[in-house]
Amino acid sequence: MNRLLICLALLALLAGAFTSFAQDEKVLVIGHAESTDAYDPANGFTGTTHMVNHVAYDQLVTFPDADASEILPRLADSWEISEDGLTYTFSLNPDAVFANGDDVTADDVVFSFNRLKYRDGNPSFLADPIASLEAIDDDTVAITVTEPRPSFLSEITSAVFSVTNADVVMANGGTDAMDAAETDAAGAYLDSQSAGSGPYVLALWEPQIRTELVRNENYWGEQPYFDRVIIINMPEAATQKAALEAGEIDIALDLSSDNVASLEGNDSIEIYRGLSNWTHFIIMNTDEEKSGPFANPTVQLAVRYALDYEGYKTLWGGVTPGSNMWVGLFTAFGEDRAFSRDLDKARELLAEAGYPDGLDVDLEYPDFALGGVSFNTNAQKIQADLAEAGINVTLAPGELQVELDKYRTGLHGVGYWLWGPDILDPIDFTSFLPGGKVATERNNWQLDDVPEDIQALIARAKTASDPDERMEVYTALQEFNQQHGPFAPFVVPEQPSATLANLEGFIFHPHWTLDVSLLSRADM
Amino acid sequence: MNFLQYFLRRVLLVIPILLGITMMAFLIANLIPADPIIANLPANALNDEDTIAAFRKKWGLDKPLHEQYLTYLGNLLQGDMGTSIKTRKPVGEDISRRLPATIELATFGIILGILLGVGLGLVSAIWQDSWADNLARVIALIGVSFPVFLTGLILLNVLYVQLEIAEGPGRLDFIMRPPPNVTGMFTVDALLAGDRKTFVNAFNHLVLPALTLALYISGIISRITRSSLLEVLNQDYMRTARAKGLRERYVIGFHGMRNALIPIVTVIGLSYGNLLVGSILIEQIFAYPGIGSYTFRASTSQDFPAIMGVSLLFAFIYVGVNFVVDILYFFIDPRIRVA
Repeated sequence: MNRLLICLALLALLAGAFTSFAQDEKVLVIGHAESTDAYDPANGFTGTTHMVNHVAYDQLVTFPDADASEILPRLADSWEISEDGLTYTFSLNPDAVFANGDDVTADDVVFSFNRLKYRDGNPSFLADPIASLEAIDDDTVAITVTEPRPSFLSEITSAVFSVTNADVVMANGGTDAMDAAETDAAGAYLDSQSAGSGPYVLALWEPQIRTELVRNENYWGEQPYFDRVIIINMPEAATQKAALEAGEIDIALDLSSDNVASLEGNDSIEIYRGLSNWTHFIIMNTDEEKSGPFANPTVQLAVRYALDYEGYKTLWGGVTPGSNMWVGLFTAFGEDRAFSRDLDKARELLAEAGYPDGLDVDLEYPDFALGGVSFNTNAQKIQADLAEAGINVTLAPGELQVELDKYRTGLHGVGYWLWGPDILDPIDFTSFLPGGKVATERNNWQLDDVPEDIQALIARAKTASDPDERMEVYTALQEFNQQHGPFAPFVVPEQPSATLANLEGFIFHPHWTLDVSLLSRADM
Repeated sequence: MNFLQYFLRRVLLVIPILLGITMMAFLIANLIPADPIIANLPANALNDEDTIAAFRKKWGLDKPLHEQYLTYLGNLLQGDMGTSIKTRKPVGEDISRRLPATIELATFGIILGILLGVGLGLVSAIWQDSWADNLARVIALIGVSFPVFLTGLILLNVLYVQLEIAEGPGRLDFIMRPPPNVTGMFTVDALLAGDRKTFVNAFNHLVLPALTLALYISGIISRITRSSLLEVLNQDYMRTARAKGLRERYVIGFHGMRNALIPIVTVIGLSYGNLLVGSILIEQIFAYPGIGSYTFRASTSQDFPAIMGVSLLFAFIYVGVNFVVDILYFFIDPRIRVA
């Protein structure tokens, strides 16, 4: 028996790599660390879900291919906002049809958004601002929000607000009734096939193994190049890199700065250095009982002057952020407005705060890495940086879930975390202002702690929709946080990907990562 | 001892062990200060009371701990292991879908591991202190001391990327379809379907991960083989066997190996357990969708039902392997039957 197996093994090895597979079908294979929690648009809320549903469904409006700089039509070819900023009226493109040939109507929009709202799925909170929906006629839908919401159009670009075919979803157990959380049963159906109007149709999902999309023959827009898109779950960047070098996948989506370097100079591979969504920052608890001297804004400012910002960029690529607003957003401070290291200034500030002989502190952070960026490495660098200013840091790493609990409940003293915007709109930054999620819930920074004019600015930030006003308000608030805030953002690392050199149309997007319908393969 | 009595007693002992395992797994999973809600809901959904309440209710987290445990046990007795939070499929279904892949890999790995380990051990023992012995010992040392994920990555880069003589990640080429599902083991199913091409492809994909596992366990197997064989080789009956004029291969093969086998079998049994643990990292590296990568994902996302399911499964396999090893003793060593 053993001898037989050895012979078989040798035979198999000799047979070697026979991967060529003559087929007329144009197939794209993507290696990706799948994060899918669901493909039901009303229930999925992960990067992979957004990437797939961005092409399996259409949304009312969308962003440009590469960024979040403006709002573009998709299912809606035009829209109007009422004077009071509460009602959005969308005119749907009459040409739009679902993959099964049905017309996309206002009723489908009402059904999809109500189902999202009432299903209590992972992304349902995003529909909370919606007060009511009304189908005025087949091609006109009016959405009323509870209060003026300048970020509303940005928010509904998300694949969470995908328009589903109401008839198909209802036929498979779906409902948009208020008790949808208990009664909706279409989740399993929508996790294995889509009911949308996008250029692709979801054909298969084997959780944590693979996802397959096939071209939507009834697509009402321009047909995409690839007939079939296969997304293979490859949790490790090193595996993706190996499979790309072997030519077995077309795209290695989630590489890291440390393993992409060795691909340079390989003519058959193209490297893309996108900017990740993650802002890495130090957070200093405003509650003196938790963080001691680090609750003092002067000490906090000293920390910002003590960090060696260039060093983090050398490690991970990317850019130095000027604030906790993700650098890709409208109004965000980029490198031109970022801090530069000034150790004298840092020491001076520490002395001014009453600590001329320096300070001791524990740095609490999760022992993990995201996209190859290691928290341990950065924590050691923070330790070295602050030591030069006279702050003696003891590293206190913990298991991710444990630290996350501490952080989210505001129990840390001085911590190191990262943040990715939930909404690609400047309003996301209000999380880092008193009253916001990170500032107040996690860091005990209260509205009362800041001057009244700043409180007024924060209130304006949440309602202002005029671009000039937003620029003014958010600039002032970022400046305030730079001088008085309890955060020290220090790097937004790059997010490298790589493709085979004959692949064209790869564009990294901060929200949906990659639009596979834009890709094509050059003849070699 | 009566074999049937022995057998039944062992089987009955398994029940309290498994019950204990469910309790331990349940307690550990609940005692670590991490919240499955934080692990499984997006950060900004944590502000939304309705979403959180719906999540708690859906996964039974709104009930006291003992009640959760009893409910779990009750369902378990009816064969229901709950639904995975991450895959949203019944855990039993997830496991039965992924286990065959791991069994296929582990079986292939252990066969390679035994061939390699016993082979190296024999060489070391027979030509003790020669250059061959030293070489074999170095290989064994590398095998045990290298972390599996490193070995896996090196093999992947050298044999798959650079030399292009082995297949890479996954169970099949990504554009190939799995054979019709009978056992869930692609090599077996492909043979049953008479699909040679799929068989060869599936087999090729097993080579690297299995070789990684084999290197990992062969180190310890070869060391045990060497030491227990050396001990036996110095016995009087070996000299007697040679004096009788038996050929050396019979002396070693029948008189030597048979007597050295007990510790070797023990360590192989234990290695099978190691193989499962090793498979967690190996499957992660090779994007191999078996129970190892499932476990990895379950434990990093606080997926309680899945964690409980795989804990039970691993316990069951450990107990089963030990059981088989005990039975094997019965046949290898007549003295055990008397005692």
